[in-house]
Amino acid sequence: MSKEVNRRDFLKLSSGTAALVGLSSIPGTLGAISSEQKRFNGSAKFVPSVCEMCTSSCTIEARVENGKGVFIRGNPNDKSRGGRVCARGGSGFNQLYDPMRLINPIMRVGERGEGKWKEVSWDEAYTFIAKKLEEIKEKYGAHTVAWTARSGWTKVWFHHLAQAYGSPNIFGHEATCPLAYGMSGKDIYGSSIGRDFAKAKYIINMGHNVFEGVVISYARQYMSALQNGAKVVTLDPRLSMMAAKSSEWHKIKPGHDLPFVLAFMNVLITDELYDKEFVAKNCEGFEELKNSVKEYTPEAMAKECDIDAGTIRRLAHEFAAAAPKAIFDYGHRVTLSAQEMELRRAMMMINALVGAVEKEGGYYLPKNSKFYNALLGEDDPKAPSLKKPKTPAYPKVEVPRIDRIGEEDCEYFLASKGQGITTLVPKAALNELPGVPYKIHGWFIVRNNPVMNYANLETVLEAIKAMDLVVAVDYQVSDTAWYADIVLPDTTYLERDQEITAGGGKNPSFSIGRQKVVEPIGNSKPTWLIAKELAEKMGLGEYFPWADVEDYRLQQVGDDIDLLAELKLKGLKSFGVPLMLQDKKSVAKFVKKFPGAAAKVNEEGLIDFPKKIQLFSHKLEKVSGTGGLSYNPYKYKEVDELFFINGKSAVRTNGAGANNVWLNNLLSEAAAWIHPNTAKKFGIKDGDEIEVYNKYATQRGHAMLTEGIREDTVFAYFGFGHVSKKLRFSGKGIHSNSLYPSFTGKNSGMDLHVVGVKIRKV
Amino acid sequence: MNPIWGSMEQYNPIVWPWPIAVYLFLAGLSAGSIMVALLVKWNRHEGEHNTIWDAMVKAGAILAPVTIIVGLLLLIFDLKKPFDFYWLLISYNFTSVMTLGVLALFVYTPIVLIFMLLIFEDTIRKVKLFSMLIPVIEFIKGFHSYAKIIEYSLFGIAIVVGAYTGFLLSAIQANPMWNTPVLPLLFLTSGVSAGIAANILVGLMFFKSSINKESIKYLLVMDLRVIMTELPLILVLFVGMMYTGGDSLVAAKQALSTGYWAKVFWFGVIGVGLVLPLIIAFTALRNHAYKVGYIMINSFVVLCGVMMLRFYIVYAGQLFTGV
Amino acid sequence: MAKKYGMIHDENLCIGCQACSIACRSENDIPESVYRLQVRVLGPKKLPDGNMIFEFHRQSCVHCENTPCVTVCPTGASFVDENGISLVNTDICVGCLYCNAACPYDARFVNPITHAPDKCTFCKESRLGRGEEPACVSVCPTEAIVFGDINDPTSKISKVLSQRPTYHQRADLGTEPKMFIVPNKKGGIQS
Repeated sequence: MSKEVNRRDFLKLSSGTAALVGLSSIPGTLGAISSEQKRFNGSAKFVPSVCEMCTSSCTIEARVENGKGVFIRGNPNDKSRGGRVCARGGSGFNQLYDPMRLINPIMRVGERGEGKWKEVSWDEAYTFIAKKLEEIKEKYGAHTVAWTARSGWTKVWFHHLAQAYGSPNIFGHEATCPLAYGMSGKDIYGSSIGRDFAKAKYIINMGHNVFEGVVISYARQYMSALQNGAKVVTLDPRLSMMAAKSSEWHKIKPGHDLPFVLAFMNVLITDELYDKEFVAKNCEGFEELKNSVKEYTPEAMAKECDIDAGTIRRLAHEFAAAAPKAIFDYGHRVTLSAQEMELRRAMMMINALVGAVEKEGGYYLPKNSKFYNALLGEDDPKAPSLKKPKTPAYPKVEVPRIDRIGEEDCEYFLASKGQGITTLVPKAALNELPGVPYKIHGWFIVRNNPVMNYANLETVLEAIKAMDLVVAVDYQVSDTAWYADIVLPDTTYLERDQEITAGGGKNPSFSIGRQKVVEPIGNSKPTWLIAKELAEKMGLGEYFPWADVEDYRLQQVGDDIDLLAELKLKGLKSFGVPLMLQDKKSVAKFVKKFPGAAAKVNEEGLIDFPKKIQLFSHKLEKVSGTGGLSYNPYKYKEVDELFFINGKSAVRTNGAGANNVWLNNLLSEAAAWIHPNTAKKFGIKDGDEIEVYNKYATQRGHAMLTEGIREDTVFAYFGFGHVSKKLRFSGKGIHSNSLYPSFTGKNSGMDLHVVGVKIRKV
Repeated sequence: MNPIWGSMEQYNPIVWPWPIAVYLFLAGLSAGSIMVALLVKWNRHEGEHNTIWDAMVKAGAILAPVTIIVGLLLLIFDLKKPFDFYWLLISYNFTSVMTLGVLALFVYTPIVLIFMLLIFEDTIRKVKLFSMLIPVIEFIKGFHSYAKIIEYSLFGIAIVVGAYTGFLLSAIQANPMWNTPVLPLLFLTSGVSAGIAANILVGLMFFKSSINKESIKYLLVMDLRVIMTELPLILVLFVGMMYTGGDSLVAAKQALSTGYWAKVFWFGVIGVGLVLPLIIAFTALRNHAYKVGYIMINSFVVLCGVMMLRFYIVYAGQLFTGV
Repeated sequence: MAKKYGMIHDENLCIGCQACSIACRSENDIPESVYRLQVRVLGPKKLPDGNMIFEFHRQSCVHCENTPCVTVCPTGASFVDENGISLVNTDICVGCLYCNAACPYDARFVNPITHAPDKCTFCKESRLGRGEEPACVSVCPTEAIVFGDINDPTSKISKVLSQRPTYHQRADLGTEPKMFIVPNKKGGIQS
């Protein structure tokens, strides 16, 4: 059955989605201040900045249009993104003057989650928080306050403040999203890994849905690969946009990606398709790997992953033939199996096996200034490196972190302290974790939304209710802010300057971070200022020796004022030429540009890897006996249940999209994708109101019948079913994280986004 | 795929709703009434008073201006910018059927008003309230030597107006049911049919008149003839759509078989509007039961049928485009 | 020679992400309840080889050469400018919606603020004058939209038109749209 939609069905489907809900009267919001004029006081010329509508942080530029609005586009100086922006990025202006946006601090006057608030001054807010933090410090110790901040700038300020206060428990959002592949890259290659999609001839994609997740540079690269005739094979239980655009789509069984990858690897090794020379020269641990995957033949794994053995063999052979212009895409959101660490390591090792690393169309190591400069001769010009402003030493902490990162026996040792396993915070608030002699009593949450984004809503809410202090910093009353004691209004990204960031792709690059396009609205404050002022209130002002962001930036660049000037004007800057260590042409160009680098070039005209590629992890073996690869079947669901999985829509984010009218008018409620044959069994018709339920939660939504999903699987876009009643579109659709178990992946610390559910018609 | 492109409300296929259907009905009725009145006047009226023929002329003379004016007001208030309607009178586009229609109505409406004044001259002279109209009548009567020519012109313009309501729709290429040359003919014919029926009804109800068997028989036969012309036109409309194939064929099939509007067509347009009058007329004629009641019911049923035809064509034409 | 602006929508490159729709709204100040531009994602459609695809339909004005909307407009409010862009002069529009009824592409809607029909203008009023491409073109992540002067043989649009097979929606009507569609290679050509 193909899904025919005619004009009248369209009307039926979408009627009412544009309806607006009445303005908020919650204290502290923009809507509550009726006299607030919508003045667009800002730059009429394009100002380079960085998007913040999702975490992809694409380069943008924005300008005020005839005083009427703000137009946002991609930064044309960024070749990888071509001056492009997605729907989410384009709607940034819509949240600027959202009447439901928070512009004054608010303090809870009822129970947590009751929604009773009073507006307070910044000084009252700081005083309250400082006093509470001091109380907790005295009663339980500063380490019992956990600090979770969004990636990038908020981490810089608030992880700093946390450690100055005396807490080692600092976290980012990574454990709910990309942590495991970063850990895997570190373990195998010694760093994270870039993917040269555009030049690849063959890509295996296991649910890396870049055409709906829309990371602009990835989407563009994948598209040009497809246009250039590359073969893209997508394995996904659902017909994602990626799957629909791919050359082949295989409906892999949810949660069972690892058996496929292991079988794939088994074929590469057994059929001797791997690059023997490359492996011998650049890798360590091949024999251990070979032994560990010996038993995972395609025949043995086919029934596990539901991809037939012949197909696995064919794909492995095709992939090896296309190498080195071949990419085994290790994905992005890594919450798809119970063995994330094994899965992502296995995926990443495949490119090493076929020798497709540091070659055009394969993997590459990101080259920051330090990496790049190490290859240069004495007389070559060097890439700039950013300095960190000098601040006093942090007080010593005697206890381990709740995730024990930094301890000798920690199973999550591959995560950095700034990443951490933030999903352990709720668990540590309810019980003392093994090897951790304390419970968490306070949570300082900056632009993170655990109530929406952490698996198992029930655990998160219980933990929040058990805490002595919950502080939220956000630009709206997010689901987490809804349960907080006090909420501090952040500016949106269009109103804020941020520090310079440095990184690297094929060569080092620098970004201005964010630049102000319009003046801050109401009494909202940028996070750097909130951290600094709060620190001063707490008596920790000496830790923040900068007047403002401009001062901080000057301290970052040191003498290199030109770098700052150029970044402010263009938004970004790269240094040198792109370099692929194992590509003769690229190395030759590099040496031509930097003659001093000739010393590092070997007799083949290539540059050796700075560190051998590890196909077996001695550290993992020592800590938890997981140095090789192994598959341990996991029971995701009962026999009579269906798999439930989720994913990203192009017009939504998981945590923060609920108030954006433009985006919500495009999609205000995500339907549950159900196969027609499955729906028939349950007597469900297209558009029916249904309940998706299991032992953790019951969620309501509408059924969407489609052949683009496995018969044993239900799918819904995430970011719906918001809990905060002060979000405009709260309660609509399925809150997918409420259905997931409270689970912490071995070694990876990852959440798990595959679970069993039942469905019924309401 | 989830519909992630937003509301589809703006694509409501019904761009022209019920006031347009009513307007088309009233304009057709107006043209039909005046044509029938003129025909009766020319053929039967001279020297006869207080007959059905006299009443029909009077009815036509009053119906034509009243319906067209009500119709036009309805049209104006259905505009999205009703207070800008004057642009219709000062900015023209001669490729637009609507512009041509505006011009035709610009001529037609004053003339039917004048016709009304002349027919009701005696009444106007008797009623004090209307005394200010007398000079107007006197002025017009100054042109009495052109009276016949003006009447013939009025008849001609009435044909234009009656057909225009069809051309207005048939100019729309996107809707197969509208985009056919049959439509002006069909609307003109059914307008005449409505004109006869309305003139009879209003004539019998408001203008004291005698009616004899001969007249009743004549009127019933006239009704039969018009209906017998309409039926093949409707047939031609759909057969034409079907032979055009593609979207037209799909549209025709859907319009005749899908949902509410197919029911309106079969029960309303065909059943009530055409078959029922045929049955009434045939039964009356065969049984020689020439009662006024029959003719009244018949006229009322015919009017309902014509109205439903307009509603059906307006709505089904927009809903079923075969795409 | 006068310009003749046209646009290409490539179904192969389109990912249905609605970036174009949002950019249009942001640049042209479109009221929240209505759209000058939507990209409908239809399907999935099953191919003979068992694979499935989505189809992408850009819903917006196609800027016909033979404009039914202009032909029927009683006041001349609907017109085509010297560069082939179909526009509405809201000052002399009476809101009869004859143009809406006549448009085979459902391209027009009633703007709730002006009460006149509104539609894609290729960003004439907002961007073309500044020498910028239409908003949708400028943001499209995968460059699925090409805009330019068809009369200029050196323009990008002319080049793409000479290289790729394209089709028109409702070509049977003889409206000759200046919106060209590159059909989905994976799904086979259809119109």
